[in-house]
Amino acid sequence: MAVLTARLFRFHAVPTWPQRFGARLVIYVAMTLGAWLLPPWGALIALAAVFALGWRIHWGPWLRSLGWLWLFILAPLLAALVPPLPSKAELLPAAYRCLTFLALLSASQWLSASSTVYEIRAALSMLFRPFGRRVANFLSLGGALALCFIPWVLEQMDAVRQAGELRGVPSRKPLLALRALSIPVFVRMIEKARHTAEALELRGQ
Amino acid sequence: MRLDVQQLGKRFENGRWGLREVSLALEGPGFTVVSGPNGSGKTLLARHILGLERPDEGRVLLDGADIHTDLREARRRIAFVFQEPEHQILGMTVDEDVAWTPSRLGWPKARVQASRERALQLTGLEGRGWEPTAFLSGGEKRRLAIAAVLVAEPEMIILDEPFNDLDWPGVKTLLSILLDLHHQGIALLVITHDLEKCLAHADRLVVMNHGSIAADGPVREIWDRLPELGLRRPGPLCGTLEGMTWLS
Repeated sequence: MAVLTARLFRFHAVPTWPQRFGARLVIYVAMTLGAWLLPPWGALIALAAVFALGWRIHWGPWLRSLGWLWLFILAPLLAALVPPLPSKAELLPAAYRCLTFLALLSASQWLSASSTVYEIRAALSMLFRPFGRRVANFLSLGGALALCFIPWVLEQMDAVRQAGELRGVPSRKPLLALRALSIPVFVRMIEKARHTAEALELRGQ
Repeated sequence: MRLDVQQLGKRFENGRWGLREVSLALEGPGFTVVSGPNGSGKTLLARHILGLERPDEGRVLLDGADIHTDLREARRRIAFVFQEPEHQILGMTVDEDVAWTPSRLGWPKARVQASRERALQLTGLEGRGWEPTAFLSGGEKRRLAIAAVLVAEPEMIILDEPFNDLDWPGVKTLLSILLDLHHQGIALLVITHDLEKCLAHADRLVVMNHGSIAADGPVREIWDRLPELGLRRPGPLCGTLEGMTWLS
């Protein structure tokens, strides 16, 4: 579970350039717009930039981990290949679309792998600053609590699932398993929420 | 600091009394252990002291004033460490969690920093401020929970079953930290079943039963009466109070 938590919440990001999250966010938005609006060169430049800036990211395992998403990426090309076989002029736009999808996903992976969960939370807090300090603090507190809450929920779900398995809940029947697991997880979540509210009260919130 | 619990009573909706005529006075930096069977009202008493519950009868006074008149200040002076430390961890890193309370109290940055460093040092977590709280072990989370309450410079710390789920080194470390705090003048109120882990170091024992106080006094005076109060006295190998310490 710790591995899953570590994957979901990047506490240590892959070093990249630029170091500032804000600058990376701007580059990411530029790459995304370029890939969408200026195919194929926008997508090609975005891909080149992503792989150059994020050379420390392990791209091979990531490309393999895409799994069924490859169907989505290659869908335009697969659709174009349905007989009767199309001409080169018809195939090229489909290939460009595949390239665009790949560029968008790669850019997201670059931003995600190079950003820690703290940077993302700080950016969210900045985003809400125009609504006033009070609102920004409130939303940032909510974000922080949610980010602490999720690993705990995952851990509890895993514990409940294991307990369920030991007590005969069939893990291969997802609907039955969901019904058996939802109540204990829900009860624990309510309990945790109550304790967190009390802790907030006791710790000066 | 003087804490007075006067004739406290709490009745549940089903008519059962959770606490009944509980009176207790705590003064100065003592080490008090509150024990008793499950459901005897130990945690409920702590919740009343912290103002998390409103009593149906009686009141809790801090230096002569009802704690509900200035709950914020009362909660700064009396800190609480939950049974499950996980419940009170609010920050994503050790530093962030420890700095939570002082930053809410509006302390200047320099004071927050100094107090945080001190709290981390006292709990053996110095140099680990950057670590994500999600990856700490059970014992480390408990130490973090203590650091997080210590940072607000409380005069009393109430710990609810602090030795739960701790192995021997974990108990030793925690006990050393608690004794350090005690020697520095912080009053400790430890709610526990594990008498053998801390009773040798305590100077007062309060035994609760069915929501009332069944015995209250110096540990040595109550030691012989433990079995008749429904508490197990540790076995023949550590049959004396002095031989019961987990520090050796």
